[in-house]
Amino acid sequence: MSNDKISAEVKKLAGELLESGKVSAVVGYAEGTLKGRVQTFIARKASETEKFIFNQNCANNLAVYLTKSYNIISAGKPVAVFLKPCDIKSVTALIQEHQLKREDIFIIGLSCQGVLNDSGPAGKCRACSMHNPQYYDALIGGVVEEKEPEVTDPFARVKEIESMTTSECWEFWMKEFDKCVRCYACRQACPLCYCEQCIVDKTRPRWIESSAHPIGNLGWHLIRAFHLAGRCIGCGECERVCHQNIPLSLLNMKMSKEIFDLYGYTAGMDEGAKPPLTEFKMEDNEEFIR
Amino acid sequence: MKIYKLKTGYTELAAALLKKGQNVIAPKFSGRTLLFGKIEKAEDAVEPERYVNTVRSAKEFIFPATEPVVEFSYKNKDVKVFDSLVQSDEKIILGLRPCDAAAFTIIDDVFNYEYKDEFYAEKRKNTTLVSFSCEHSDEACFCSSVGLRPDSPQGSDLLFKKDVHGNYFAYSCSEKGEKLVALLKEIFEETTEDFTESPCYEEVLGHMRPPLDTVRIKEWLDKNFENPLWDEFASRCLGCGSCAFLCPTCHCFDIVDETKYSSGLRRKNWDACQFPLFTLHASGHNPRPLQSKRYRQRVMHKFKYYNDRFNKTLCTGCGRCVRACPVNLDIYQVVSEITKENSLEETLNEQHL
Amino acid sequence: MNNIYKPYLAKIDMVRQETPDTKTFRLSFMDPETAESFTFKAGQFGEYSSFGDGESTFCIASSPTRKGYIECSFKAVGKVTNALKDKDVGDIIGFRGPYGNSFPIEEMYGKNLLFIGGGIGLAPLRSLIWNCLDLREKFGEITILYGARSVQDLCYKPELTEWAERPDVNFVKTVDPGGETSDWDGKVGFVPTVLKELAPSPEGAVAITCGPPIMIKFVLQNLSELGFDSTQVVTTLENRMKCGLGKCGRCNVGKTYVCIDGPVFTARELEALPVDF
Ligand SMILES: Cc1cc2nc3c(=O)[nH]c(=O)nc-3n(C[C@H](O)[C@H](O)[C@H](O)COP(=O)(O)OP(=O)(O)OC[C@H]3O[C@@H](n4cnc5c(N)ncnc54)[C@H](O)[C@@H]3O)c2cc1C
Ligand code: SF4
Ligand code: SF4
Ligand code: SF4
Ligand code: SF4
Ligand code: SF4
Ligand code: FES
Repeated sequence: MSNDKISAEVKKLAGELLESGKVSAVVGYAEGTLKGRVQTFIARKASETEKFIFNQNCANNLAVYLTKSYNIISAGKPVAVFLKPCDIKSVTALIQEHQLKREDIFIIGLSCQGVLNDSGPAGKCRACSMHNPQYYDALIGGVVEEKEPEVTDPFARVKEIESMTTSECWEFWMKEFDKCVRCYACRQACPLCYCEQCIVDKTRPRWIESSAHPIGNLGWHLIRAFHLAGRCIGCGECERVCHQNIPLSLLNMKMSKEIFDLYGYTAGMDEGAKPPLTEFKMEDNEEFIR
Repeated sequence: MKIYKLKTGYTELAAALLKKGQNVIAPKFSGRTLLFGKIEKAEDAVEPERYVNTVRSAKEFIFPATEPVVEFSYKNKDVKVFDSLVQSDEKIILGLRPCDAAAFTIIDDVFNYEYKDEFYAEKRKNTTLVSFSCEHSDEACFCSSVGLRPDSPQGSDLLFKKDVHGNYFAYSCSEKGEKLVALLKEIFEETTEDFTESPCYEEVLGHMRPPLDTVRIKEWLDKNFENPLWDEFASRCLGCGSCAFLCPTCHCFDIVDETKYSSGLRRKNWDACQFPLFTLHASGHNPRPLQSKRYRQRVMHKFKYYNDRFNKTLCTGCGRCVRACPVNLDIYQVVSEITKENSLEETLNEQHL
Repeated sequence: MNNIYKPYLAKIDMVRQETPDTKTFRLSFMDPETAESFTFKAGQFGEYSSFGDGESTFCIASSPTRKGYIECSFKAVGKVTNALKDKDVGDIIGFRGPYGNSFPIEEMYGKNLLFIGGGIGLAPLRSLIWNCLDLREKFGEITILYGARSVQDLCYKPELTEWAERPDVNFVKTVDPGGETSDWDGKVGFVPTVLKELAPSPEGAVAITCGPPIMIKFVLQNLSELGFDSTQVVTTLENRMKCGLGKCGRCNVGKTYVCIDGPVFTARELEALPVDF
């Protein structure tokens, strides 16, 4: 289906949802001011839904607006939100973690042919094998054909890093972290970094130095990666929003790989599943736990 | 203002500076990211025609992301404090854009009024700003909206322009600029050719976003501290520090202590009004509890408050915040929209009359 | 280099536990030259540091007429204040200041003064009160209305007794309903309510008030109802601060830097500020 047709569909659906009073707001995408960039947009009146679009530039994961600090979900009426198949995983994760109730949202599922970043298809899209939303309340764009992903091993980049020697690896990351200015855009864009007070902002005691120096930056990135281990659903928002181009997905993917290898668990796939680091099982292989 | 013809290209200029033992900071790639950095080899300095601007502004060399200001040691009742050393070795920032050079002239005011921040002032004094007029702009640039141009000399010690044949001409705008030319006299020669109205820069200007009406913007801001538009604009803002940290004119900071055993440092760290913690009191009271109020502060500070205080707009139109915002909350679009509202209001008023 | 961020070292000479969570320190400067030359005005504040923990903003609570030391009173609420709370006589802390404007004491000469304080908000008023009492003949009547949540939350108890006993001071103390003890000899009621009962005349008077935001709000309202013009009412703002030097941007309210242009404002000046505090 062409972009225009899909955009027309989302406008129409969003308009109907608001008009009928079925939802209190619609979170979606609108035309951006730069080439290849779209805006996130929250409509509360049917008259505003003309602005909605959907195309290959719609990279943002809008699930972040469903987290508590946005206070967008008011009692009684659901909020409609545009979600790509990978974004839906974050909704699953939020439901798993009791941050969101399924009935509070109306999922406008978007079948997706992949999104673009500044240099072509986004990395996550090249390894994606899920082009149709897992579940939804309305489907836009029809069912698209699932094809073999261009990159068959989602952990290929991680394995490259793993093949480095310890000192090469250290050097690689320290050089990357050195660019970090601690703007926390990565955290703010992440649907799973929803903590009311992030550990990096805690001062009593101060666990991680807030200064953008090597120790502070190392602390920040390692702790964030650990907090997302088994929780990161791989939407790649942190890496996308990092203007310093720090390959944050690599860190998170490494943790996902470890979790998969240890527990056979992939985040964001099953509402009923318990993330492995939040529960304890007798068959867990760490001796010390038993 | 004297004009000098540069007898060489950019790389040779960088090489000549290095050869004279100068400390040169210029745009270079760190992986895929174009940042200002210390140049060891002239070839590392990316030629100005190859970029629109760096991801981060040059402010970090005068106002670093983190900087110790006080050192201390404490052993029981024996406490000592020391001044941190100002990293004030002389340096040349090469290849910066007029918008970044102008930014220093804007934030000079806040760092020097009433109390003088020597950490800023010393570095500023010892830094020579060598800018290159823009041969290209991108869709985010809007310097012409805030009183600048792709070839504005404001803030530069030396400003380079190109003629149609690709020769560089340097306009020396200060003593520091003259000193630099004198240092490299073998590659400069004085001339009377003047490119003040160079057609090349007119063309760049032509491609830029249409100028903003800053007077109207300010008029609207003067009257609209409370306005539902703030909620509308900010509803999608993520409250990150991207816009402020990349901005050459944002100058807010935090002060924190860091310790190791019985000694430590007190640091000045970049901070941003978009973070809820910025204004949170220990009591839990927060004057700006919502993102709409924090975003309002950003726009107000840039286009009204700083004007009210220092008579300058706190924005040089460099476009960094526009490029970096994860949700494309475009400050140019925001302030253009409020001017539209302004005229709407006036038409309504006129209709009433 | 004149490092505006470098604190003076100051020794704690005396500690007084004012309430369960509030302490007063008396400080003297380690450097004899600073001790000699240091001056300040009532209403000014400083940045006090516990090295390794950070800095905190408190007003100078002692009077400029009492030389040789400064005092501060603080409530332990966060990182720095809790670290300071654990310090004792002989310990050394840092001090930067004095910063900010001050109470317009010269403009108060010849007028009747009405001090209205709540809780720890008495600290900045105390500086001015003692300043005025030390120059007693320059002022008309002096009335002090002070209240706290409960009896144990009243600060500067020995001084409250002293003021109550002075014939040249009209002292009224109160605690919030429920905060009284069996032997409480003051009033019971919220400060704004007691203010209304007192009904001071606005004629030739200046009211100076400090306290929790909610108290200030109603005090200002009631003063206005009593006929006080907003130019006759003086208060202080407590925006979050870091530098105290007009640099860090944290305390800004519109174009106003509370740390430079404040913390003392007349109610008239507050009316002109955007509500960003
Ligand atoms: C001009 C002025 C005078 C003050 N005078 C007094 C006084 O005499 N006695 C007293 O007990 N308190 C006073 N305060 C409030 C006092 O500054 C804060 O309670 C204190 O800074 C909390 O610090 P903390 O590190 O313990 O708290 P944390 O919560 O750990 O604070 C972290 C940071 O937040 C800032 N902060 C938090 N709350 C406030 C606040 N209410 N005001 C300003 N900054 C804050 C500080 O910069 C602090 O470093 C005054 C504030 C101002 C602005
Ligand atoms: S977005 Fe990038 S620069 Fe900002 S905090 Fe995250 S890693 Fe650092
Ligand atoms: S980094 Fe950790 S503490 Fe911070 S928001 Fe993310 S998950 Fe929460
Ligand atoms: S506000 Fe944006 S465009 Fe203006 S100077 Fe700052 S970063 Fe550049
Ligand atoms: S816009 Fe915000 S971060 Fe930037 S200087 Fe102003 S108050 Fe500071
Ligand atoms: S405007 Fe954009 S860059 Fe700035 S805080 Fe909001 S989301 Fe971040
Ligand atoms: S406290 Fe830093 S500007 Fe006022």
